[in-house]
Amino acid sequence: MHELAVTQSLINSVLTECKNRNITKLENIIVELGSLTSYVSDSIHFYYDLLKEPYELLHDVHLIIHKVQGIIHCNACKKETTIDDSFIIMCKHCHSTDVYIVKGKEFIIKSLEIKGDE
Amino acid sequence: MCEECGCQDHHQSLDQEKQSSKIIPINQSVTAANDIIADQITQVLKEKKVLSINLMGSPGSGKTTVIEALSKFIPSKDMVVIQGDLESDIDKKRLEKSHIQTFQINTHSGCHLNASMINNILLHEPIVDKSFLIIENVGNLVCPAGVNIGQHVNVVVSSVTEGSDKPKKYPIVFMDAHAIVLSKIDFASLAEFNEEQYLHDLKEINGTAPIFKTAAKQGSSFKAVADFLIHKRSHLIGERHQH
Repeated sequence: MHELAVTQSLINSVLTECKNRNITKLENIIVELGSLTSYVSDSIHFYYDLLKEPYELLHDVHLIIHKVQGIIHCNACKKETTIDDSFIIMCKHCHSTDVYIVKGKEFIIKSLEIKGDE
Repeated sequence: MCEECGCQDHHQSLDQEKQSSKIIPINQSVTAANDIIADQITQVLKEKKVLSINLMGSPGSGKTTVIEALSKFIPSKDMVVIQGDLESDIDKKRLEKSHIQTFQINTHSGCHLNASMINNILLHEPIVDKSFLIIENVGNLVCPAGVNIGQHVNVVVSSVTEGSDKPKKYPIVFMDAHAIVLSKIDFASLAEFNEEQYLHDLKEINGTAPIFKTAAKQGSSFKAVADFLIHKRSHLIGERHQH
């Protein structure tokens, strides 16, 4: 449900970028979505298909979401741990919980792919 | 089905077409518009020496009760509350009985508050001579998580009657919490709440947030929550702590 607003923000940002860069033939929107966010990629796709309807520029444009795995850095042993679906935010090397998140909380428009002849 | 874009068949052909495409780097956060407003709110409130708290939790977890109970330890005149609910001003009226200045946001179908909603309140109702802004988010363990609304501190209220599996089932809201209020602790036995499991699961998700056990009928159990917020405010505005 909360993906609705954020997908509209995504579309607004893309349209602004296209306007500012005079892009008229967009092909793909490449997005990075961290695994430690509360956003679900299936829902974003669902809302994207609904919300893009009024915008002719987006009619044939695919939204491609690359999942970014969560990574934490341990303040105790200085090593990094990749967070899997078990969602344990704890250093796997020394089991410290004194950690900070390095990756996994991003939701970024990484790039736009435009048709080559533009 | 294509895992990346959710389509049925196009992704393979995409790779073939890639050579004729041009890639323009953007690297812009999708939530940038919200986060810019949120950052401005936190900055302005810091300058006003107001600690902003994002109070999250399920419907019925006891968020409003926490605010009422805090007013026994933090003078009501020092607090201002923004209430987020889909409909009604029931909680606003309830808090006003405790002489707490309260503003209501009704999101209607919206499942969480955002920075723009908070900003609209603050633009029309400037905060004067307050120390704490408590934003009671819409009751929900999913959607408010990770959405910046101009808070300095995230507090999650989690009641024993919801069950001991909540950290495991809804990790993101617990992951970002600076403190957790484990409410209705006097019902733990009746609800067959497995505290050991709850604390174990919570530690795996968030090993640093303090956990405060509270019960509405034991007002003193909220003192530690008030002390935590007072300490956080002192830290925010650069006051020295007296231990």
